[in-house]
Amino acid sequence: MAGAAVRVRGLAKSFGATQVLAGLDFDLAPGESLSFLGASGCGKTTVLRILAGACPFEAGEVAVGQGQAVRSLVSQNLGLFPWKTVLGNLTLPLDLAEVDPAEKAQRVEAALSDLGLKGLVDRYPGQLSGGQRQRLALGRALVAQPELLLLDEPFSALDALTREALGIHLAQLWRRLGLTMIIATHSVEEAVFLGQVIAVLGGQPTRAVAVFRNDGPKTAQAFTESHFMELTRKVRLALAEAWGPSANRVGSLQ
Amino acid sequence: MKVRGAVAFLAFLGLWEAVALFVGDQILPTPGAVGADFWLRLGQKKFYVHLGTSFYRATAGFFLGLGLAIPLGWAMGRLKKLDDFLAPLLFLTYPVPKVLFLPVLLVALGLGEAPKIVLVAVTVGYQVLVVTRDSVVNLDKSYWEAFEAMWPEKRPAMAKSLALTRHVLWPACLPAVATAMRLASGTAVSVLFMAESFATDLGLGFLIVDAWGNLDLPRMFSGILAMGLLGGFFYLLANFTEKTLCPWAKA
Repeated sequence: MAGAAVRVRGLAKSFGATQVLAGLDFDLAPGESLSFLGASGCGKTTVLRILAGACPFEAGEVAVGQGQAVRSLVSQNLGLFPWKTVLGNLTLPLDLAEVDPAEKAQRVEAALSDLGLKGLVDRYPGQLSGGQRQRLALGRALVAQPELLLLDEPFSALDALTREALGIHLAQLWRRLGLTMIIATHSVEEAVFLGQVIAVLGGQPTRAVAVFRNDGPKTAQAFTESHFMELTRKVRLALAEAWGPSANRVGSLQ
Repeated sequence: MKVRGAVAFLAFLGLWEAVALFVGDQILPTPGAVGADFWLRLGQKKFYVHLGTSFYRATAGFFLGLGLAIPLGWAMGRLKKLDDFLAPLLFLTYPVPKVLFLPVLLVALGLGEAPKIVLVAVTVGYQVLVVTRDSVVNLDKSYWEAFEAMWPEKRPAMAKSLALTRHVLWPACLPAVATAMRLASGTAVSVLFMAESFATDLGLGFLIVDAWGNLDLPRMFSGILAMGLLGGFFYLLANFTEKTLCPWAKA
């Protein structure tokens, strides 16, 4: 599994009379990670859905890898099927893609051990904790072996500690699997921790008002290192400039 | 739970006995008299013919109703044009008691088994159709999106419809269908009683009306008891369906 390059030029999208995106541009190298930060309703979800191929757009160019790259989207409410067990949810994408049984067993096994779901195969999503559900959704996205992984507010429903632990786990997986990753979030810390590129979205229609690079380490220690805190401060200021001082606070409550 | 159930049952019998003694056995026979008569019926071949006939009509109607209503509900939930056309008809006719169709069905389908089975099917089918359609229309958008995202574009559209039905629509509507089955179990038996009180000499409905005409109250109540058990059977069937086919619902 390798990451796909992403190239977006002049992306435009409106809902009715509201122009959400007008001329959004960005590039990602294979295996890079990008975080989108911005207040609710600024179009983060729309960009991800367009990249996933789940939403039509009016103008612009979107290229992911060489043509039909495999893309997985983890949506904000996860979209797990409550009537399927952990195992059923994990195998469904592979059954639909008619992956052969040996390969299927191997991929599911890998996802179960990568995400620590081994003891939970017979549980239903309703019997899992919030963090376990999140890991299952991530596992279901990863068994398809995507070249581009899209995460929309993946950890927003979790308590702070679980959220941080899952962020660290995700960073490890991203590094090991070498996939390209785009994550939309309200949390400045999460954006800085997970993104090599952090794009602050703002304006009406939405564009990237500030872009930062963070090539620092993505390990548990990173949170307490000075360059991480300094970058977090800069991103927070850019966000405040784009959305007003309360933007991020309001955003993270939602 | 079992103790409470037994206490409730004994209390019911006690109340019945008290009322029966108060109003006299010309109006309400005692539980003992009905029990003795029911025991007597159980030894008669004729009773099983009545019971079997009613069971056949109710079962055939129940499954015919389910078999038609569930796919139609999926289709209405998925196809906007079909829904635009059928939904207003459905909601206009939904409050009409289906038993009113009995004369129409007797004229259209004759005096055989068909009108009785169709009447039960229509009664059950309406309730199931409404909930099945609603459960597809109100299905959380994230399930559709998740399914769409997983579906490999290169596979044919027909396979997609089948997979969607199997993995999403069917399990999503099952709990609501089981509830509709439970609700319909009582009404199905009551319309069957109406249907069996005309132009037939078989079935529990006939047995009840015949005993009533002869003022044979214990036999009439044996028939009522048997029809109640028939309704209970469908209620239990709905519970069983839910327990075995929706194990996630109790999660």
